[in-house]
Amino acid sequence: MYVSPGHPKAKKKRNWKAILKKNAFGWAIMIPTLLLFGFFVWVPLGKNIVMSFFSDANFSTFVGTRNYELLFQMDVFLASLGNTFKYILWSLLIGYLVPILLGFLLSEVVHAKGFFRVALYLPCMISGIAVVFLFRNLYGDEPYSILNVILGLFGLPAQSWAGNVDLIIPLIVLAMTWRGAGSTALIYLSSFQQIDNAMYEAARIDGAGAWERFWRITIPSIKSTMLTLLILQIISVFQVFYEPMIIGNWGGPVNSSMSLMLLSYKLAFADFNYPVSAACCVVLALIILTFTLIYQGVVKLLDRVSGGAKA
Amino acid sequence: MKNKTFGAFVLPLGAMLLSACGGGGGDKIKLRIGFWPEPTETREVAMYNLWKEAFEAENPEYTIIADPYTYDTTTIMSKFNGGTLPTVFQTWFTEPLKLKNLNIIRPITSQLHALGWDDMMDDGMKTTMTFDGEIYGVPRDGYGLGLLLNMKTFYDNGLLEKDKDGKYILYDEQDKPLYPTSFEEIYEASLAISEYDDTKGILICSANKNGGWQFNNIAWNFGANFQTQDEKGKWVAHLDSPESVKALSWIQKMKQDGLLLNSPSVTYDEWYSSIGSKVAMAIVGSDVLHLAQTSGGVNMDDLAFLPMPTGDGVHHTSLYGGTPFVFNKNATDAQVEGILKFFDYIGRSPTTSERNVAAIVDGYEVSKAKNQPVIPKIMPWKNEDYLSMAKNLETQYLSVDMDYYADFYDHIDQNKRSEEPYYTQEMYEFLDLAIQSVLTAPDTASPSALLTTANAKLQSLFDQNLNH
Repeated sequence: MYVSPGHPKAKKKRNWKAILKKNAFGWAIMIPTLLLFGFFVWVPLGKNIVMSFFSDANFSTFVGTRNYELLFQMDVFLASLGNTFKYILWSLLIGYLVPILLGFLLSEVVHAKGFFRVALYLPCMISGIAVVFLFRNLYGDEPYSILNVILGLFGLPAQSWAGNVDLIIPLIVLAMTWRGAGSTALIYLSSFQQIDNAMYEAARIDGAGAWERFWRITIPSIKSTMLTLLILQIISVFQVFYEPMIIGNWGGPVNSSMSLMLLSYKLAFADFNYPVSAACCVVLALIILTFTLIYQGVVKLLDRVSGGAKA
Repeated sequence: MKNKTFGAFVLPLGAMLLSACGGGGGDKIKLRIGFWPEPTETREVAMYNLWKEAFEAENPEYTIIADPYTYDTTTIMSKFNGGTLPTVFQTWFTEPLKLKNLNIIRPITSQLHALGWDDMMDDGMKTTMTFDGEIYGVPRDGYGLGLLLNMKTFYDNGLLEKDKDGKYILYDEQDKPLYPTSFEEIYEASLAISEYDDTKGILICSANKNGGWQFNNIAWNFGANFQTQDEKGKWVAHLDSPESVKALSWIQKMKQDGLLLNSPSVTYDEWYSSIGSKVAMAIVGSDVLHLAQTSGGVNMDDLAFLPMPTGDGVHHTSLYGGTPFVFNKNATDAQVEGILKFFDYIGRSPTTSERNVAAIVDGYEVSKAKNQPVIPKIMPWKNEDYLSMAKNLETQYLSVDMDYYADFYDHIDQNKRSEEPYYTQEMYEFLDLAIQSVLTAPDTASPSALLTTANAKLQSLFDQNLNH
């Protein structure tokens, strides 16, 4: 079929060529990265999804949603799902507010600011697995474990801290917060420092107290940072892995600290149940995807609202 | 032009490949040995190198390649899929069926039969490696669960005495044991120890399926049977039988009275770091006893290894299994035959050949040089000539005081019992949860209800997969 040069289709074709020519160098630079990314990330991701519908790791028999049915019939999966929401709750109670407070205090410090910044960030520089083992010893059930030594000073008997089904998740979240709060606090610090001082001065002139200034100026100014970090924290909590494995001794006791990530690992590498593990990963990915979409939606909404306000 | 390019690149490549095939022993059959010692174990490596030289000199068609691989569930699939899994490797006693189902290992029945080794293999160990009539491994050695008792802790708490030579007295004048032989006596001894000492009575495993594994043995000794087949051939689970409930109730009583470790998630490998000062007793496999000294730093002469206690006054059953060598699915018949030949050079064959005997002696000499404790083994082969030779050598090299160990080894043949046959790992996991529930809420947990739940799960597995 002849297409006249003025026809929109012909124009589009010419544009594609031009675009390709224009961006050829850029694509050439990106190709190795894309290939590596495809090979190491996208292909395994795709194979994982496909495997979740097959009978074994060799993709022998298509079994439809059988692996998902088996997964939802497992008590340990339901326990892990419930635990994940407990992790989120405790991480919001313990882990979310602490960095805001630390960041705020850091912004108010006049002397030795650099020292406090380094001191806060120091735990983030320690290897994650080392921190987990450190807290395992802290929460140990032996009389010489640090918390039990403190109890001993008051004449109290040693406790099995990590063996308490009600305590294990808050204790794990405490360990995660100890390690992660410093870096989050620095992000908050930079947000606090971006707030225009003139607003505080104006508020003072208007007679606003410290609490009112914090509530009406500081919090609204760091709202978008808070929201971003809230969603990122929820997503990271879904991926909690080493802590329940080491502190909880494989998600125990009675699966009370089992997380979806750890369950997925256990199913694959301890039980060799690769297809059900793949199904577990897909479910986990879907949950995280949902939170990510919520996050993006809220960010867009906030942008629109703030854009509208500016207009 | 294209043809010239083809010739310039492809022909030299072909020549290179052909020359590679022709030289350097490329036509030899390669045997990659996964149970080869790690490079840090210099004495063992030197010994294996001597065995390799002797084997290759007498069997020029083979090349031995050292490829040390410590079996790990996280690496096995990657190694197999990546083509780097050794031709033969050592695994845990729980694994052959799983590895067979994953298509990672191959049967070696015909090769064993040709050598007559299938008839020499210990019956119990053969059962644990036989699926659908095919044998999938060669046993390295066997293990049986027994009661490891720290006599020093007992002595320090006035529960044992020493004679004038400073030896612990384990039996009275009528040869009646002075150590706990029943779970009730374990409770009483633990109670006595807890009065004067921070040491707990016994280590009870509860996590990583180790709890279920050991509870299985405890429950047997209360008279329980976990899996039976009815007259119609249907498999029936009995995790909630009255005997089993009694066994879990005993654990509950121990916990209620503070006689167990505080943690409700205890794994098996904690025993050697605990037997020195944390607990007075532990249920341990006979194959790892040396770890008490090499990893736990406890003097072997302060320990006694005894038959499993009884719960019903009748059974002293020991759960029993073997550590197998298994063969890569991709191993050829010639490779399997070569490795079976190599077993004779390293003291792992059931023969009494000079080579086999010399290799066993080499192994003992290395242990002696390294000051490692030499403890009796449960032999993997049952032919009389082998047993007589192996026991004779063992006696010459034993480094522990058999007065503290003989009771277990003298009775293991009568006491041993292989694992339950179906969904054993899943069963252990269900039992782990029941034990952990008792340990976390000892005052309120109902052993009967917990075991009923565990039983329902196991029965459901039977009904879905076995009972059609």
